Amino acid sequence: METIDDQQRKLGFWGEGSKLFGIFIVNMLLTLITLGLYYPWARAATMKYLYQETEFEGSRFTFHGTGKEMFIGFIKALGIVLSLYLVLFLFMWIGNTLFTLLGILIFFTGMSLLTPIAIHGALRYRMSRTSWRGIHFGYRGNLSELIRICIIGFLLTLVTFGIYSFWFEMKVRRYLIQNIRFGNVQFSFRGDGTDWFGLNLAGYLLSIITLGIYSFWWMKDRLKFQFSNIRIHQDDSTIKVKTSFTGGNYFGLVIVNGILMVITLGLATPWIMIRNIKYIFDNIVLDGAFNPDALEQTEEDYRDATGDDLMDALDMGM
Amino acid sequence: MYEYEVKYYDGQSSRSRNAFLLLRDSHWQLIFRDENDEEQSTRWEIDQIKQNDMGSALNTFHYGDFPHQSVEIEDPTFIDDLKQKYPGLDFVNKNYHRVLTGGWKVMAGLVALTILLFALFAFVIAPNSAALIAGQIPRSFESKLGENGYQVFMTTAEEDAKRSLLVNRFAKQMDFDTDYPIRITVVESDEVNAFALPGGRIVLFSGLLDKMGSAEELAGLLGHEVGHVKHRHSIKAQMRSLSTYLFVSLLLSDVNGVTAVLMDNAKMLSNLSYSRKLEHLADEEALAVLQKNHISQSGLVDLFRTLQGEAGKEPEFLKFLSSHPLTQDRLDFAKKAAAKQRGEQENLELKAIWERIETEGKKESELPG
Repeated sequence: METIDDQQRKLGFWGEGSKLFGIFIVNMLLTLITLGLYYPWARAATMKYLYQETEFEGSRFTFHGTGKEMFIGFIKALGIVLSLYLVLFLFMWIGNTLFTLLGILIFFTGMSLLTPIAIHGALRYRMSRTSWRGIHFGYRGNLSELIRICIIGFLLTLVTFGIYSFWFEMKVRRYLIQNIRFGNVQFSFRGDGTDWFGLNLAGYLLSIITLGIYSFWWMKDRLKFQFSNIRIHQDDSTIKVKTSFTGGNYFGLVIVNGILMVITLGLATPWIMIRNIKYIFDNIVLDGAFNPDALEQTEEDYRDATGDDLMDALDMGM
Repeated sequence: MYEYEVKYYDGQSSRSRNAFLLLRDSHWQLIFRDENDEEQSTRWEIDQIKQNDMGSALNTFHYGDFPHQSVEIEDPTFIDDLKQKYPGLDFVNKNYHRVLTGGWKVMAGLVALTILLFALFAFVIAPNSAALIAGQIPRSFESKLGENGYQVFMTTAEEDAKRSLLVNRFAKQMDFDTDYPIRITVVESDEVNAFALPGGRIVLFSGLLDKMGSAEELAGLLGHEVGHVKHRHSIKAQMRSLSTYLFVSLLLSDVNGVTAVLMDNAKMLSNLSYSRKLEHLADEEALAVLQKNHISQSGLVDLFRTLQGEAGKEPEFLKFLSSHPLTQDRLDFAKKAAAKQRGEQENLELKAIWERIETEGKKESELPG
């Protein structure tokens, strides 16, 4: 066991491409045979593998979600999305302009409410199903608060022709991260919209000027921003996340991934996933006093995967 | 025998305790020292130990309900020992374990099987079930779909009412052997094109009408387009692309992919790109219609010549080419059929209407603007 004086800690990842490939093949095969019904179990298997190969302070993470939970969530999520479509089509079918507009209104209102609902549910589920040394993560955010943030953010984004989206994004991120618990450990995010906007504007302009070459540095800056603004709080101590992403190593990652993808016609996907995870873990260090033995179980169990499946259906990655 | 050094977590805190794990017949026994340095023992009933899905270098086992107790075991022989000690019980998911430790032969077999199944679904099951479903779609739905597409298309198009009337009169003189109501709309456009919508609507661009030289040619074109209507090609093509999409999105479980296909199909209603096969079927239908009406099948040959001649000239025609693969094969096919044809007669009524269509067309082009 490392001592508390050791101020720097890293996340380790032991996943192997060949094993992940095996999991992918079994997943695909069973998904085909069951006409897609196996998909939730496939997702659970992938997550379980990736979690169990992630190590911190000599202990592995565990994903407790099950195919059954995710299947029930999947059916619910499918039901929600399909019923929205059904309303849209029924109203359009009536043919009258008023009804068509009403249908479109209901559809888009539903769809835009779905986003915060999905994020909220997904985070609650995903966090509750993650543990390390038996201590579970948790998400304590309030759904109506998140919806409020999203509606205001959406409207402001609309009237500012999209410019506000950078502030909006950071607001949501701050809210989500500050509500994550890991036992009695808390998290926070310090990034603000102005910095995020400046970083992206500069990155965008420089990428144009340099005919895209700068984009690797831009992406590196984005990664760095997202990680280095995270703070972890345990009792009175604060742990910072230090990163060592560089434009050069990011460039190397992307180029090799691209080549692998092209020459294997996509078969290298599991190896690429592993490379990406390793890249992140290799380049972040948790810096500050942390006592890995002092976490207390504080969060409750939460097994509803609807939000998680909605996120998946809406094509939003975590 | 069956004793292991493990790390034990009690589910209340993350405190790591060195413990001994003893595998007993009906349970696992864990022995460790608590914070007061007193020896403690805990018992895990076999049936409440959670299955580990994959197995890795460091295995974690959980026990009971939330909050779980857990142990971490690094011993590389542990999983094999479990199998020996408890034959018939699976602490690690058997299937995954077998695949992940099965080596390249197992993997290659699975890859081959997956590819085979994938091909079976993509090329046999999905398109055939699509055709089956397409056959079940009620007529009323079909005409509603076509009518909607037509309305959308016509919002940006200008009808040549006079020639529409004449072409419809022309079509009335022919027997298409179908109970779909055939309604033709001539649309002002330089495009050398025509398309059929589900339910019986046919849109004919004036650009094509202007280029045609005989009543037989028009009859050939109408026969071809009615063939599409009669055999519900539009619905079939749409069901096919929908089924492929559904199949892919099932695999990737991307419910939103369905949105994309609906958008695509909305576009298709105006664009209507049919596959080569459907084109060929429509050509056959056109020949049959011409034969039935005693009209010379060389009309279809002429139509293809008109289209082929256009292909070289206007880049816009590339669009037509991509949806209607106008190869030499199609021309040859029509020529061959026409050479064998017997019983064709000159239809004076059709000829008369055709002449009026031509005159209208010329008037039209003389108009300024």
